[in-house]
Amino acid sequence: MGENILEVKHMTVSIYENGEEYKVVNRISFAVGKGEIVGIVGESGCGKSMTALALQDLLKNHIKVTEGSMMFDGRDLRTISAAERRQINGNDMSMIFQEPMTSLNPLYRIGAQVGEVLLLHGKHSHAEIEQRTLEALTMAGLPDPAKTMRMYPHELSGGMRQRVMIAMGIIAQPKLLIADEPTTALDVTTQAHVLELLHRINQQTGTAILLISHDLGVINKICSRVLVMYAGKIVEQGRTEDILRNPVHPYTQGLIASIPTRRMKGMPLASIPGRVPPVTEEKPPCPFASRCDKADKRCFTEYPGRKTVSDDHILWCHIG
Amino acid sequence: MAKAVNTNAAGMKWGRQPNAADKVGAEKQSGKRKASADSAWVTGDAELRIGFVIVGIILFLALLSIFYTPYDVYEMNTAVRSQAPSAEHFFGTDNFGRDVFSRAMTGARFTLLVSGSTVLMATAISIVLGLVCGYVGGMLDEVVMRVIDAINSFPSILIALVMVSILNYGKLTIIPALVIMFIPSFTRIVRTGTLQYKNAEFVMSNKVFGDSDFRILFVHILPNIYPLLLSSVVIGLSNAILAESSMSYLGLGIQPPIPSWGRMLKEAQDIIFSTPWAAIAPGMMIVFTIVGLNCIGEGIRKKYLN
Repeated sequence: MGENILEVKHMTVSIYENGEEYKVVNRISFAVGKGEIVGIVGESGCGKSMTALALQDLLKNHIKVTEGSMMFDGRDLRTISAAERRQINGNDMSMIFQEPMTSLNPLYRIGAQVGEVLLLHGKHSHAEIEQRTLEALTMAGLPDPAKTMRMYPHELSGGMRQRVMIAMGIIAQPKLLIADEPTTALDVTTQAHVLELLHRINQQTGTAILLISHDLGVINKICSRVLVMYAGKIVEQGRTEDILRNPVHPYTQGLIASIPTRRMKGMPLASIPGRVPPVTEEKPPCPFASRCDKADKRCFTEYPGRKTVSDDHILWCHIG
Repeated sequence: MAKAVNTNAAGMKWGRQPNAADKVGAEKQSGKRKASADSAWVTGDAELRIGFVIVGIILFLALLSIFYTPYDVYEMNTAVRSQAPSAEHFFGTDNFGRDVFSRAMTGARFTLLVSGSTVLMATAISIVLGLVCGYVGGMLDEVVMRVIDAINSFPSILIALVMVSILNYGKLTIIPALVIMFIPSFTRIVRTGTLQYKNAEFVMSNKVFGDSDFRILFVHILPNIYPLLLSSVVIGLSNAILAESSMSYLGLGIQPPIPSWGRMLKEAQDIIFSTPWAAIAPGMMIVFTIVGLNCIGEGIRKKYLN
C-alpha cells in the first residue's frame, strides 16, 4: 500500500472521573495506508468512537489522550497547535457522524453549509465555491444538486442528509475520511447506497477511509483491512477476507458466529455470553478472558503476546 | 439532546404558518372569522399584531415629539393651570399649565431611550458572557455564574439605587445602573442555549470541518438561540420601562425639567386629587407600552418556540 496516511502508536485515551483514571482505549496501534479503507469493528463500549473522536480532537474536557502518538501525514496530531489543527480539519481530514438528522445546522441552506468548508480553507472565489459545492453534491449522489443547494436541512430525508454530510466531508478532497457508523441511523437500502458511495469516492479520489462500525456486514462490503477492538484494545487485525473467513481470536469468531445467516434458519441465534466489561471494572490481562469459553489460566495471569498468523494477520491471544 | 431537536424543528418554521390559512379555507362556509381568530391566538399572530400596533403608535408619538409637540413642553402658562382634558389639551394641563399630552410624548422619548439602550447594552454584554461561559465552562463559568447569582440575590431596585449613588449624578447614570439589573437573566438564557447546542452534532461537525471557536459561537450557535433570547429581550424591555419609571419616580432617574413617565407620575402625585389626569396620562402610557411589549414577547414565544 505504500506510505501510511495515518499511523497511531500506543495511543491511550483516559476518562478522568472523581479523581480516578479509566482507560477506555488502551495502547492501541494501527495504520491506515494512503487510499485504503480500514474498518474498526467491535461491540458498543469498546472504544471505537473514542478512537475516532481522539483523532479529531473532539474529546470532552475530562477525557484525554494520555499516551502514544498519532502521526497524520507526517505530523503528530498530539503536538500541533490549535491553528494547525483547524487547517487539517476539513481540509486534509474529515469526519462523517452517525446521526445525520442533527448533523446539519437547521438555520442555513445546504449550499452554504457545504460550501463553508471551502470558505474556511484557503481563498476561493464565490463562483468556485458554488461550482465545487455542486460537484461535491453530485458526487455524493444527490438527485438534484442545484435544487438541494437551496434547501434547508429539514426538507431532506435522513439518507439525503447523510449524503450532504458526505459531500461536506469530501468537498475539500481530504486525504482521510473518518466515518463513525455512517449507516447506523439509516434503513437497509439507504445503507447499501451510502456504502457504495463511500466505496466509489475512495476509488475516484483516493481518499483513505477509516470506517467505524459494529456491523461486520458493512465492514465486509467495502473495507480492505479490519481491526477488531474489544474493551479498549485491538485484539485481531488483518485483511478483511482473512479475518472473516479465518478468524482466530475467540472474540472475532464469536462476532462472526453472531451474524444471522440463511443456513442457520430455525436454529437459535448465536451470541457471546456476558457483556463488555465497563471501563470502571478491573480487567484480567486478556480483557476477553471472562467471556471466552476457551480461556485458560494464562489468560488471567499473563498479557497475551502478539502472534502472527500470516503476513498481515496479527492477533493478541494465548489460545488462537 | 431531544430538546435540542425540538427547538431545531421549531427554528425551521421561521415565518411559515400554513395552518392558519389552510383552516380558513376549509371552514369557509361556517364561521370563517372564528376559525382564523382562534388559530391566530394559537400561533401568536394575534398577539404580535396587537403588540406591534400599540408599540408602533407609542414609538410614533415619541419620534414625532422630536420635531413637533402641540405645546411647548417646558413653558408654564398660568392662564391654563389644571385644566381637564379638552379638545385643546387632550390629556389636560398640570398645575403649572403645561400640556400633559406634549409632556407624555416627550416623556415617551426619554423613557424609551433609557430602557431601549439599557436592554441593548445588557443584551450585548450577556450574549458574550453567556456564550463564553456556556462554551468554555469550567472555572470561568463557575465564577461568572456565582457573581451573577450574587447580583440576583439583591432586590434589583436596591442595586440600581446603590449604583446611581456611587456613579455620579449625571443625566444618564440610570442606564449603567439598569444594565446591571438585566445582565443576570439574559446571561442565563444565552448560557442555557449555548449548553444545549454546544454538543449538538452539527457543532461537532463544524469543528471537524475546521471552524474556529469564534465562528462556531457567533455563526452557528447564536442564531439558534435568537428566538429564545428575542422574546426575553422584548419582555425585558417592558421591565426596563417599569424600572426606569420607578427610578424616576424615586427621583433618581432622568433629572428635571426633562419629562419622563416616571417623573411625571411623581410630580402628579401631589396634585392627584385636584388634577388626576396629570397622573393618569403617563400611567396609561406605561400600561399600554408594557401590554404592547408583552404581547410581542408572547407572540414571538408562541410562534417560534413551540
